[in-house]
Amino acid sequence: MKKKILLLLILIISVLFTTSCWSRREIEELAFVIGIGISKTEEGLYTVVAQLANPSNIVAEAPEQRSVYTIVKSEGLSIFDALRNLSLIASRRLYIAHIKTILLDEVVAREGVAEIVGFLVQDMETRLESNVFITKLPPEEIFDTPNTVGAIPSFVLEIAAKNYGANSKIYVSDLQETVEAANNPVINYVTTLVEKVPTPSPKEMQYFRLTRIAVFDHDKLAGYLDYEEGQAFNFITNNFRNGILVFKYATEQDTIAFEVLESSTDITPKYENNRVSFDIAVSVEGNIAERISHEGHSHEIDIELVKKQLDKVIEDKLSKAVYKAQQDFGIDYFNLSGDFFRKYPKEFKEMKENWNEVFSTATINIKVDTTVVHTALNLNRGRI
Amino acid sequence: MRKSNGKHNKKPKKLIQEKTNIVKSTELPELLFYEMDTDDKKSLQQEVESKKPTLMADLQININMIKSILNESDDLIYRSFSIPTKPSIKATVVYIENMVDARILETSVLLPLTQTVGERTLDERDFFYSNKESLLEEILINADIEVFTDINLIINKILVGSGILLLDNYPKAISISMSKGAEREYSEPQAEKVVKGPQQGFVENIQTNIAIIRKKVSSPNLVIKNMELGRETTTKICVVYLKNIAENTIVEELFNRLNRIDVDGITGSQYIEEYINDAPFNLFPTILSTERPDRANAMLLEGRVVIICDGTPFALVVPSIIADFFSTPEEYYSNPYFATLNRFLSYSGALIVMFLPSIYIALTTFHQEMLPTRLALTLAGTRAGVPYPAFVEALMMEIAFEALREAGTRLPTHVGQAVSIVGALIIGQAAVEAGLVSPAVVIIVAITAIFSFTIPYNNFSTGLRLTRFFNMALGATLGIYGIMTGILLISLNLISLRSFNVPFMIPFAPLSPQEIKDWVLRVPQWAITKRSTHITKKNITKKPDTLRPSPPKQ
Repeated sequence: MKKKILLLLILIISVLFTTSCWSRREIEELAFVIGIGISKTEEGLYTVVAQLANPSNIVAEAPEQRSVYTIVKSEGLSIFDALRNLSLIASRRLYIAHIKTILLDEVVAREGVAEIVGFLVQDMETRLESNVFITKLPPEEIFDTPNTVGAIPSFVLEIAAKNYGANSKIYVSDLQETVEAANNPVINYVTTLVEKVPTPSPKEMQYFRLTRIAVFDHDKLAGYLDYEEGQAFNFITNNFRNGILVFKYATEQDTIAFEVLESSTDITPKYENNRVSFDIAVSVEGNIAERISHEGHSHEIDIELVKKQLDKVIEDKLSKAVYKAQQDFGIDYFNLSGDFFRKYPKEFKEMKENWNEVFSTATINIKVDTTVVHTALNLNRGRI
Repeated sequence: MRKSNGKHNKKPKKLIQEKTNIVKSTELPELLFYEMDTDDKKSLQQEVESKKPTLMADLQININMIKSILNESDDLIYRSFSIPTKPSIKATVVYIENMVDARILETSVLLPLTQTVGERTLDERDFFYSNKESLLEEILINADIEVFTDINLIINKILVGSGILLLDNYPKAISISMSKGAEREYSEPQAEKVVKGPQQGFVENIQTNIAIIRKKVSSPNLVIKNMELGRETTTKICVVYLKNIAENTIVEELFNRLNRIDVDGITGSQYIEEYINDAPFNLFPTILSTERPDRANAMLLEGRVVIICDGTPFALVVPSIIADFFSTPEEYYSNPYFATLNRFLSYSGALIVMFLPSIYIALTTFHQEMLPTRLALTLAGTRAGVPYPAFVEALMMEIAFEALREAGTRLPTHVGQAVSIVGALIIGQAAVEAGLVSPAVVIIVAITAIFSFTIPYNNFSTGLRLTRFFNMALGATLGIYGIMTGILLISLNLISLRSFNVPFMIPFAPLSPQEIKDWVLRVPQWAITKRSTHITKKNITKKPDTLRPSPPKQ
């Protein structure tokens, strides 16, 4: 018994003390990197900008807007080199497990994102949930946009990205999707461009806005989609959550805003006589949320008619977007290749190399079925 | 009185042996031989159908009839005397020691029947011998006297605290009410308070405690065994159980362990606990102590054995399981849903007490990536400027809290308040303002403290509180991996525990849904129909499963 206890004691003591608290780091000694921006100098050096949180100012009762974060910038021959060079400046140990926002400069994005994100993922600390944005401005300018609520700009960007479900006009990829796209040569990467917009009034602080969807030829930036095309993109890729579709009611010239509550897309690839075609069936459900009467006349709305018109409106929207993808870009950024591959894996193997060409010439049939649940309009139209 | 008690306590063994022969030879009614520990329904039927056994003329046979039903208890007294009629009549008063007021017995039964009769004239005494009814009518001066011939009724009367007078050659028994009057000798329970429910606790006096139990459980199956422990102190202890429910092996094992105790003195029930504990080195107690008679009674009905020690208002209950330490009597006096919530609070409280400070340490020193970003930033912000590592900081505060709690319980109430003010102000506020500790640690310590108070039994939560320091050291050196090791060690330890051969971790290990119904959840009374098969094997059914009330059908 005594021997047993002694053995146990020795074991416990050696376990506790010989480890000497390996990899221990106190939380207050860490510099939390909330956002990271990557760009390139004209000489070809990589530049890394890190947005660091200032925790003690965050918990202060009334922090100044600009004091909650610090921005540090460094250059290096590679991204890792540049990141390590940051530690020459930073007063604390850089801790990149809490990155929320990754900004990629447009120039870097045109060269290809695969190598950049490759490094970020190889580092064991990063988590894959951070959002990736493209910027035309230098990343530090986006990061240095203080706001009145005193939030770190990277957090604001994260919230803006999460809000996409309210309008479905943009699509933000997180780091995991980025890595998947970078690793799979067939996938064409898609994410969103962030821009600073002019202030609405002279004394208001500047803020940024997610303006366009950036589409890539595999991992190289190819161009941008506007909000109309953005909605169509989300419809086709089955990412449409909520959003407003505005159109003119045919008979009366009323402006009607239709609020989409649910949308689901079914893509059926076909391969007949060496021709690739896709049937895209979209079913949409929603309410008429708003109506602006033409010249103030009030009249009844024919739900059947609205439905028919809506089908047409959405179909037009999608056709336009598909046309742009096929003709202007010649890139399958909807990633229909995945659907095709799942149904015709053998055939896909042959076309893999020049899939974008196959896509450009494919027939794409779009069918929309809308359900108008109810008008959601008051009978007395706002008069109380 | 005391001398005669001693005599009677030692004699019965011999007497019983003699009498069993008599009992058999005279062919007593069936009831005496039926055993309660057959199936409940059967025994109930038997009771209804059986012929009512009545008294015989012979005094000794009558006494034997009573003994054969109440034979196992040590507190039954047979006081024999003779009434000086001409010739004298042998008489016996049967009563339960702790429930009868000896003074009433002396002045209203013994004194009149001996002295008063003796002072009568020879003729009268001769008349009394042949005419016992008038003897009783004239001599007995009690207010409450009843005459019985049915043995079951007689037993009931004994069990509620009356004395039974039996005369030789007289086939009737006279029950004389002489139970102790004062109900409020006992104090309010101090540690196990309830809002709704009996406000009665055990007291230091063992006789009162036995009387309390006897009054609440007036069953002929209740067995009370007397023992004396300690060479110098000769402390009285009583072992109480229901012979038709409690498992024989457990009772035997308990007596074996009690008989082993050869010490100079016992000053409280806690001493006994340490001598009969299954795991004497363990951090966790495997024997419950309660100061509530209602809890003790409920435990008796589950088949447990209760040990009462003279001088301590705490009764020990064996075997005990982990669920006992997480349930309070209050839960049985309040809404089942709320009671279940309380159970969950105390079970989760145990986990929080053991692991919350260590998890805080592990997360802030090793696993910052596991915190949500904003929480991580807030913690980092509050820790900024604190000169100690998180472990030292948390350890300091935990020790300070334990000291504060100890000081608060030991000191008299008014000084205790001063201590808590100093503690709350100095430690809670000034230390944070001075930047010596971070507010987060103060919150962690406070949460741990509050949850440690949700565990109703203090002696169990002390064990949990001690493991906390061990876990903190593990968390500070090995992070979450260390805490996992701590969880593993503690659960292995708990699962290996046994209390009188009953697994300590039931109903969790072995997992038993039937027992979870009563011990983890608190389902309504009508749904708890079975006793635990781990504690008793012979009498499982508590009540029929048709007791759920419902509105009348129309």
